[in-house]
Amino acid sequence: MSLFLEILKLSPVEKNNIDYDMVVFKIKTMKRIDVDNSKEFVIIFNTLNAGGGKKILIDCHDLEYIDSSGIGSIIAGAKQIRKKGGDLIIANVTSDILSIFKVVNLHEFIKIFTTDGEAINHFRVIV
Amino acid sequence: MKYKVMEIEFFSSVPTKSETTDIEKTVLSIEGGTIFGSNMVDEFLIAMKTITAGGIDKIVIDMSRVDALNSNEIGAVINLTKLVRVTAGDLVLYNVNRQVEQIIAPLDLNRFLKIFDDKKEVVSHFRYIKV
Repeated sequence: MSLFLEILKLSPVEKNNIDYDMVVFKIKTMKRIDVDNSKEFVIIFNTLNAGGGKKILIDCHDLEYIDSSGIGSIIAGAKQIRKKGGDLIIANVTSDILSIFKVVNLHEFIKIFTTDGEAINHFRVIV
Repeated sequence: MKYKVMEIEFFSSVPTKSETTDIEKTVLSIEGGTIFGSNMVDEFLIAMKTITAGGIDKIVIDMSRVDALNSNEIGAVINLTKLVRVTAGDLVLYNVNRQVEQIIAPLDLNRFLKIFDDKKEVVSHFRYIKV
């Protein structure tokens, strides 16, 4: 299943000497994250983290369903990236999905923003 | 501030009954139509350098939605191919259409890059290189 990856530069970045404080990796989710496809998230989080990425934004605009394996993959990704001084945050969550996140108190562990703009401003501040 | 999107997916290069997250066996598949022709070579290279530094050295680009390649894009593909071959990985193309073939052929790019007709051949190629 496809993921959509966007590269957001907070300021000009040299492609031969990447300053990862200035790069946000925005991952747009598919409609469902469940046991069948959550491994895609595990792989992308693992590789971005191991490759030097420090700022990951998950855009949940299209997300309609998420199960425990999906939530688990996001939590694992956040833990990994924070070990290296980065952060993983979430934006554009629908009210249905937000209610699921609140049931499991995800919002107390991972910052959830209403819009991309707010999320990106967060990353600008923690540079 | 630039903001551009590339479509990617991952698949395993080996048959597996259960889903695997073994990075060494993982192939990154990129939808070429979301990269080429959209002036996003810099973003593409940042993403790919990060992902390859993270351990993925098997990359395939689906060219079915690509009608042209400029010199900057060809340079990026060559650089990325050299990068993944350092760790005995590879970058290959498939579903290359006639217009793009006419761009690639005079450059002898097909002697440097492996080009396949379909994804089945790609999977077979990656199955037998270093794992």
